[in-house]
Amino acid sequence: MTTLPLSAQKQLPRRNRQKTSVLNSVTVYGGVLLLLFLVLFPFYWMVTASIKNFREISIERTLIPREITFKNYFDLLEQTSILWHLFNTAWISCFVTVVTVILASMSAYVLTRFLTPTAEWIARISLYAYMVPSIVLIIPFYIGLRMAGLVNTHAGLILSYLSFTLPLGIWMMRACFQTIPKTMEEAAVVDGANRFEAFFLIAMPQALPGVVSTSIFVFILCWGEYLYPVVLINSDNLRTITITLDALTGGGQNIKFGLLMAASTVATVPILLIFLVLQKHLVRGFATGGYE
Amino acid sequence: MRNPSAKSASRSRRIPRLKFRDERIFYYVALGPTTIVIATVIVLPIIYTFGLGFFVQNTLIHTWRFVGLSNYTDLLTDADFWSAFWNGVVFTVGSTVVATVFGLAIAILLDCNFRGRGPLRALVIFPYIVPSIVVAFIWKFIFSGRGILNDFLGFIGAQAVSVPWLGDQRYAMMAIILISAWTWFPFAAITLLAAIQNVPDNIYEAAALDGAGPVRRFFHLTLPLLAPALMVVVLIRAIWAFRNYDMIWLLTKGGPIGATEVLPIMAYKEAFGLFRMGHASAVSVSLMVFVTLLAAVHFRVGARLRKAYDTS
Repeated sequence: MTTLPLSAQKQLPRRNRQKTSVLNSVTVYGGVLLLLFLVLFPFYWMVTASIKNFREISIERTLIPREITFKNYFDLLEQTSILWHLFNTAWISCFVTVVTVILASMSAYVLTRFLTPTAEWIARISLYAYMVPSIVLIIPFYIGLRMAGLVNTHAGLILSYLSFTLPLGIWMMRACFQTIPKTMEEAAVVDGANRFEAFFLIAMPQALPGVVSTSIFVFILCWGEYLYPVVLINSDNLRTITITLDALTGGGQNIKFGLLMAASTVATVPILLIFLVLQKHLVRGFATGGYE
Repeated sequence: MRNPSAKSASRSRRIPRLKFRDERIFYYVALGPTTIVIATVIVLPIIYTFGLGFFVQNTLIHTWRFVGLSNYTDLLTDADFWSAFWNGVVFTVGSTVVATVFGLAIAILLDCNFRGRGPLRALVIFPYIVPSIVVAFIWKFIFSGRGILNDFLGFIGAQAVSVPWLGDQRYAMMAIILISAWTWFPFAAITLLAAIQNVPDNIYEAAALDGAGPVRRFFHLTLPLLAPALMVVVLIRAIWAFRNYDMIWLLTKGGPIGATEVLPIMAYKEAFGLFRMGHASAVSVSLMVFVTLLAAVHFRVGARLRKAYDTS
């Protein structure tokens, strides 16, 4: 449904709405400033808090840090194995992304080209699975993975991540393959190509933008996942970054916001890099169903 | 999907028109692994949770006792369950409305012509892709008793404010609604922006010529034309809000005194706090029923909208 506006949008020329604009320019720039403030201030507050000293964070609450210190970051490195956790998160997220994209693009291709009952059921289930609360799945995962001896392993975690990444991947890749015309594949079959060649050599190259968008969304989801690792992982050396952050709040009323904000900054940096480099694909992915 | 003509159409197209070589092998190779994964990580767990709802077990696993529907009947008479349900409704309605209204305003703003519009359109996505735990921490910091929000309010009102917004029973729900709206508005904004761009310019021009002011144009043109997109945004957002677990848990853990406890949090506490897997499953299944009802409405509306678009 959300695909509809964008596909139609491509046919329309880009236009500027000057005279017809509902708001005049003063209100527009006022709105822009307000929006910028609302979006950016929380992040500004996070980054500055991470480089302030305790006094400035909790007592004086200075808007602009007077004295810059990296003590919070040193404390973070000392008290947690955050770098190791970053590495864990990165490899799990990458692995899940690769597996999801491979499985999703193959099956999504089938879902758009072969309309068998099984294919239709898979399309329906993956659409529905998108909305199934993860709390429904976590109890069987916990019990089942315990029985399989996979609780507290990355393998078990990866398996659980697939429960939300695969439906998303299938959904996004299906929308992508629906826009790719079948004519070139039909021409290939006349030349004697088989389905494998048609898929890998003709359909996939055309679906590359969709693959990129899907990968970004899956990666971002895996990076920020909280519920599954918190339940399924308990060894420190297997933790992901979200659990590192979670563990910092534990114990007592006195939350060390400096430390928390430093850890939050560290967890945000990879997402920021993806955002800066791949924002074009992000915006597009958004419109093709990347609505987590 | 359910009407007979669509079904017969799909059946006639079941056999591809052109015959590739190795068609069957490809079909099984491509669909097989996905089918197995979906069956193991989605279908089986759902069935398992359903089954678990009919059992009671006290100690960690192993001792099971079949109790039929009593987990469910317990829930129906459990005041906590209903308060969690209503909290979920309040949270869902609140955060959906705030995120959609805010998103619509942003969409209209981003449709206007100004310098730096492109980067700003990308920038609004950022709150949406940051890990929820980071969002929760930042706002916990801002909303804390001695946080910058209270400083700001004190500055405006000229008297010191020290409300721990997330820790106060009266304000906690409002705070989590605002925070989740902050992280969810980009979805509404970007989707509605795409819909606004689809509205042809000449409609506005004609209305302007006829002397319709900006306010009238908004309520009589923009809003009706955006109604289908708004509907989709609201439904998807509502589904996600009702099943949301992590944001609320990270902000308040359901507290203070159950003020923000919703069904997913109740299920989590039952399962991993009290290890009453049967009860937890019953809670999750009820949650799933509510979400499925919303999803059914969403599919219905979606199908109807697509039909409306096709015919027009």
